[in-house]
Amino acid sequence: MICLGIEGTAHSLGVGLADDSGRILANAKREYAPRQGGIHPREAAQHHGENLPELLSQTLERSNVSFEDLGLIAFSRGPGLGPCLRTVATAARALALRLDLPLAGVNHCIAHIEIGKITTGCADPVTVYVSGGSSQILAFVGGRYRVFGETQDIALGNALDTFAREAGIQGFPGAKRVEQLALGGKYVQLPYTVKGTDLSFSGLVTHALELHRSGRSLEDLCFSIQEVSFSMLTEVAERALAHTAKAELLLTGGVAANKRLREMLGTMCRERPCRFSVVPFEYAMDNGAMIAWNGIQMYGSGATVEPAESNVKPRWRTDQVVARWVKG
Amino acid sequence: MGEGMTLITKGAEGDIYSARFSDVFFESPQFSEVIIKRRIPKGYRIPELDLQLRRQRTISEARIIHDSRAAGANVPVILGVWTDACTLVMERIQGIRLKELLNQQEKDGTEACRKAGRQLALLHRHGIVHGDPTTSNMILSGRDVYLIDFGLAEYSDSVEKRAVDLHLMKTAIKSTHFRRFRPYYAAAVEGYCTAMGEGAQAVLVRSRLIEKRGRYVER
Repeated sequence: MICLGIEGTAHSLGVGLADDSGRILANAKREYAPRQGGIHPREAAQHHGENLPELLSQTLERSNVSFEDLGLIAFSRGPGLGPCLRTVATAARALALRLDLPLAGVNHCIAHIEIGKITTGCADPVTVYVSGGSSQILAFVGGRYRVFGETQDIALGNALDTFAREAGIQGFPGAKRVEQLALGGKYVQLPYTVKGTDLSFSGLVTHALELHRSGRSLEDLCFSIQEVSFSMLTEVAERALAHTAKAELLLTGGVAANKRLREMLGTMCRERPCRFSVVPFEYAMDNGAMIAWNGIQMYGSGATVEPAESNVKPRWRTDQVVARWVKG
Repeated sequence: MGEGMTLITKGAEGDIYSARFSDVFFESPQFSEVIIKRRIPKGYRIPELDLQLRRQRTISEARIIHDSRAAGANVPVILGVWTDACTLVMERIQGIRLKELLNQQEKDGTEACRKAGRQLALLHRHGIVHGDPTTSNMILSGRDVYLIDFGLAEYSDSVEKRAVDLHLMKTAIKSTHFRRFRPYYAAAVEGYCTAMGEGAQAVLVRSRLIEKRGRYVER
């Protein structure tokens, strides 16, 4: 059976195709890029609405799949930006009704973990999920993906992007420029905020921006923001590994592209020791394939939803979902 | 230091050794054994940040244990703080961990639980939260319950953090001895409320809310 998955929780619109053996048949995307500043939810939603029909037909055409070949429609039901979620949900419901197919409402964060597991081959990892909108340490315990630690304010990717933008660093995305500038920097002390297993990044950004205004070099600040925030994340990841006694660590989300972060988590895993996997970049970013694959899993465990009851869930937590498709 | 030291556990935070007091200091009639807690370097951090964090935490843990003692709580006596070696030396509390005590069918742990609740309240009343008050970190020594391992402790008056403490103690008791969980936890709450006074109610209410969030996994 082939599932069509549509992702649209934030600035990325993704369309993916997966079958029930875990094969990814297509993974296409289009991204909304703000002219200035951060994501404007309404503009992002309009982008998704305008681009989805063409992206959809292109994707099916290129992978030689027709609407008749589909057995299931899946969509990102949450968490995310309300207008974006509603746009994508409307499209998914329309397709399900028109084609008379079952509908699966996928939790975006869980989809990130599941696509990570199937593409890297790890079975039961502690997952570090860091992107522009999320920073969570997750692990499967007692039937659900539990949140072991998370940011109490802004996400790591958001922190890096915000610093870049406010400090006047040109280029998009900001986090990537921060990584490049960091290569020539020296360490400056910045607030390190780990509370038990929770993290906080906003004070770090504020402090770094203050130092920037007082004339500290951008290279030093970029270097130090990375060192401090990545160390915080690594510390909490290690604590989660110790607590759950799991032997695998999985890194995913847009920030997984950062080499220094990968190096740090890799070093920690080597010292423990534990297996370390990074989700391939194409599947670490927001994408439609992960929605399609988790949709297949949900369908297999009987967790489909009626279109009339498929309201979006902008604040949906991973631990609200009983993951019946996971063994163990 | 080095000879006579026995490694007890390797935690995420640091290595714990035991040693004779006289191996570290001199002959003393008051102390026989000591605990040495060394925060070891983490290879993933740059050396500057690594040393900064290990030093800060060593100092902070010593300070909080010391302040807890001043607040009247039963905690180990801090005997030495080596900031550059990120090492703490403290009195070893002799006795049985509550985790093991509550597992013994033939013994009644009700009184110990009441005392544990009281100890937690003594910290909270003085603006300290423990951060990890499981039954592994409580020792019955003679007739007193002692609190150990302040690695996650912090200064805070927040109802939320106090409630997390209470909730962690509850889940610890629940998983340690499920059959007598109700009387044991009731005794702990009673001990907590008696010592805490007025502020206890808000903490209890919040801890029930935390439980409903279902976010903290059972230990």
